[in-house]
Amino acid sequence: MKRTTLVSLLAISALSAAASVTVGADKAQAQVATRFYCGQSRGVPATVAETPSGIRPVIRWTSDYFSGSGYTPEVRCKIVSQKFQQNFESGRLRYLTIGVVNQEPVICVAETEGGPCSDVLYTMKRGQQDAFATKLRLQAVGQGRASGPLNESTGGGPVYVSLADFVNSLPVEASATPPSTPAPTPEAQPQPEASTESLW
Amino acid sequence: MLKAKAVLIGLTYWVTGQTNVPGIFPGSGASPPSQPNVLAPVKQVSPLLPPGIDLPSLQRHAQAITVKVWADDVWGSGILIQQQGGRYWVLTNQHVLWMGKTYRVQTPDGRMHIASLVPGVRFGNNDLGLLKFSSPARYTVATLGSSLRLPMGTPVFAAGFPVPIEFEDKGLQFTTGQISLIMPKAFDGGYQVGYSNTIEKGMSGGPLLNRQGEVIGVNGIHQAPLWGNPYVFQDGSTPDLDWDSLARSSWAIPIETVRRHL
Repeated sequence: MKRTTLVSLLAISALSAAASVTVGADKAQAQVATRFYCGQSRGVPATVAETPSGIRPVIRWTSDYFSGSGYTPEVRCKIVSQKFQQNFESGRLRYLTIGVVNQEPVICVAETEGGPCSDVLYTMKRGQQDAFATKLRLQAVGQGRASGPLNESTGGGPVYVSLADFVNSLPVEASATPPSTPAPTPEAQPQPEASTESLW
Repeated sequence: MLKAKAVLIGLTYWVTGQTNVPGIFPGSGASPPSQPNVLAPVKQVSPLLPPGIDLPSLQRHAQAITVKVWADDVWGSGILIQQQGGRYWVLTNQHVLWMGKTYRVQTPDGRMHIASLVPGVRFGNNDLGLLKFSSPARYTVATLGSSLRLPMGTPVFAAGFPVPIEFEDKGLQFTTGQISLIMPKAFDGGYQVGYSNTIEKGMSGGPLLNRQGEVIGVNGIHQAPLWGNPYVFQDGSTPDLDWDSLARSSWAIPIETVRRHL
């Protein structure tokens, strides 16, 4: 099986991976009461996290782009929320990163900062121009703020990185499913594309 | 243990602290106008409150200086930080601005103003951003204090506009709490001041206030982050505290950091 190669865009950060892994492990144990599910926010389906310190909206699913193929916002919300929950339960929801699977950009879970993808959360539409920005926004959601790549921003506004540049920067193109992870059914289908979803 | 210590220090502070501290209200010229509360009723969460604090005035002041910052169709919070001849400057978090491409500021009177980034202002690696808008209306702007030398347990007040769950829009959330941790150096993004107040998604960019109503920090990280690690210092090192000690606090960027860049 080919090893799926994924790129952590957090490599920019100078932080010590070893130290942060330790902290991450503590976190997973501390948040046993946290639960991810598909709820609603401002009237649309939303992946939300119920935590001991409050309910956190994570992704609002507003795009009807894939509704024609059965992936309505409701369906996408349920699939992705379940994946968040599964990864949280198994202690793998430590970091998010971007990778490429079957030549398509994916948002996935990584157990270490800069580490390989351990599970795909969702595939982004091919050609999506703001995968990088989406990833940064999701990182901000997880941390409650934006993280290290702040200096990627030139004007203080949204971060724009061409997907072509991003893909070209990959050392090896990946085409297999992640190691030790069965081919996830949802990824075999045209996947929900989240570039137009609302994140906090 | 940490919390107990903070509470103890806090109680000590309340007993010995001044009760007649000169504030920016009332009668100082900066008292908040009695504006119609068109956004929503102020919701107060007040588990413990030391004596000598004029909570209603604090709430009114928080409501007067805190704005909703819209990035496309989502929002965070912001602070009316300066005004000059009908032009207003709004301080918020960079990660609020990341959420969209076009910006609007909703002022306490409910009006929506088209806003734009202030050119030439850079906050370095700090999670801050500055917007400007113009309006003939008069709005109260914030008075700045300081936070880095506050003792643990000092009462502080946080405000902002939580993103609703389901359909419920809570309007301005105003929470009370205490300083819980102040780090010797800033975490990535400039976060350095820990406090016990609850912060919800959407309150990022809103003010952290002292008992005089001065802005001492900018809200940005809520308790118990879901993934990733926000507790890494800007030099890449990590604090000698376990995750729970850090995750029990919300975190703000001290206003001193804002001052350095403006």
